[in-house]
Amino acid sequence: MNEELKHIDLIDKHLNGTLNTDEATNFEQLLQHDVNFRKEVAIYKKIYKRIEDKAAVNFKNRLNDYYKEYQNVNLAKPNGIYKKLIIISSIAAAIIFGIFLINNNIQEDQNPLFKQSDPDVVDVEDKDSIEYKEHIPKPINEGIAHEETKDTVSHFEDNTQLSIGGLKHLPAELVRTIEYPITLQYTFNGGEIFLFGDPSIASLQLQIVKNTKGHYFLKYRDRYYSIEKTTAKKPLQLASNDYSVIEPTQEKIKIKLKGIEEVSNISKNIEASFTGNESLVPTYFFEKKDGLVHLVIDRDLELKISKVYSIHKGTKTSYFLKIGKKLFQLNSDVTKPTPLKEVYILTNKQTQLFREDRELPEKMVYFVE
Amino acid sequence: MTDKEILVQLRLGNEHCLKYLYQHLEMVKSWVKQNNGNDDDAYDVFQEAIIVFYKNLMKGNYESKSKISTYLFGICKRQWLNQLNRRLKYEKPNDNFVALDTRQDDGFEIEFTRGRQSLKRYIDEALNKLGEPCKKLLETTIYLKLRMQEIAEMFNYSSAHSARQQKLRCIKRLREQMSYELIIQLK
Repeated sequence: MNEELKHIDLIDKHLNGTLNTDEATNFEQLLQHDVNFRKEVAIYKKIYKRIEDKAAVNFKNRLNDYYKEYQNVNLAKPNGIYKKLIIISSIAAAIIFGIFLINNNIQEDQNPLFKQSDPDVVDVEDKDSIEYKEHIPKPINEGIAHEETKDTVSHFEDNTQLSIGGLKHLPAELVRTIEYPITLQYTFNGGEIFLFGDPSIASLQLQIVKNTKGHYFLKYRDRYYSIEKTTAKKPLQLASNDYSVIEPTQEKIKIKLKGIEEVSNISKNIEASFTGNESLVPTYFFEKKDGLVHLVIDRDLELKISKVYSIHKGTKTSYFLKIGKKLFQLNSDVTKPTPLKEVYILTNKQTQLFREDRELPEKMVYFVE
Repeated sequence: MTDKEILVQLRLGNEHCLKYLYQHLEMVKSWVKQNNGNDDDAYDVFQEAIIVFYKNLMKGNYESKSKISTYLFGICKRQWLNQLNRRLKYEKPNDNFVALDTRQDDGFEIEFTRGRQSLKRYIDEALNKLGEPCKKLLETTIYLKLRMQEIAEMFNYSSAHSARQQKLRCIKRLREQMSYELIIQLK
């Protein structure tokens, strides 16, 4: 550790209250005899105080969010009289919606929203009210689900069309699949390396080196991978392992980490649909038939920010739904509507793959032999 | 979620599991209401109690002998009684709750210093330039005082030692962006 870092180390421990006896003596001595050290202590005090204040405000804001989340979940599990009230009002809502549909249809036969040749208005009203009587989050009828599936597989451009009481299709390009472990891929333009596949790599795990011939290598977890200039994504290629660093160059290279999106492919055997309902407890379930997996999500999805992912690891497959920054883990054994469960993105290695794209601090390039 | 599961998740860095603690809010609400307070008072003391609990837990100062609910309730009671005393003393029964942590932004200062360079803004700008993960790392270590072992796991560093090194480097980079004179001058 150089002198400056040593001083920072001492000041940090002092402000944290974690100096040991030796360090405390050292600290006192420096404070008395070193004017610059004294100045630095004053500065760091101010900086730390601001960081603490800021973090305190941020933390309180997050707590308020957690409380809202808690309330949302709790509101969704009403008991006794509230449950009855909700069921009764849902039945009423279903009937009113039905009436609205009939009226709408009579007045505007050309309404593009209901382009379907045979909208079965009366059926829908019946079905809805029966299902709502049973339980709220179960407006999906398996029969309808299958009809809809067959219907939309052939023409995806119709996917935003509202099928009454049925399902909207998630466009095929939003249902992605990934093989795990992921082969990292890269592009390199001389000044920036984009690394695709794992946004959770820590900056300290990466180093960029160059040999005397001018070839670049990326050192990751003590292995060297050769890096060529390329605009098309290339998988990382393992190079020889025995390099030793000679000296730093003046060169600096930026590394940008990109999520799994770019290394994923469109899934061939998974289809996903959603109901568009804004229910209090969004649910999901899977149907499996002839090697085809059909995922049904009972909530509204904003297509711009929603994607379904399946990650294959050996014979195991995990499913995730990503909506904006939120990640939900899906259990493919679930065949009855089950509440969507959010997982924290830092929970484990797999969930970390869904982290936001990151830009690492610029890396100094080192010469190796 | 049981107490044990909550503690495990929180220690793993899954901060959002704090939301499960709000199941104990009702109990605090009814107690505060019996003691001359209202729902908002209860919510405020409860927030403070969560902060105390979480900070202690992350610092390794939380002993899980009692239930989390008992622990939180204890802090809430103490805080609310202090608060009541203070209100009685100053005869300001309608005064807003003064948080335990009075160092936070109050919004007024921003009014006064608008247009001028303020110390807050100066440091904030430097912090923003620093970017992630440094910003998050500093907030977590300085405010929550997490142990380096936990930091290493949360931020994916290979060891507590390298997490510590990374923190020091972040501080150094932050410091390098600022001038001594300005920091001392600015209010």
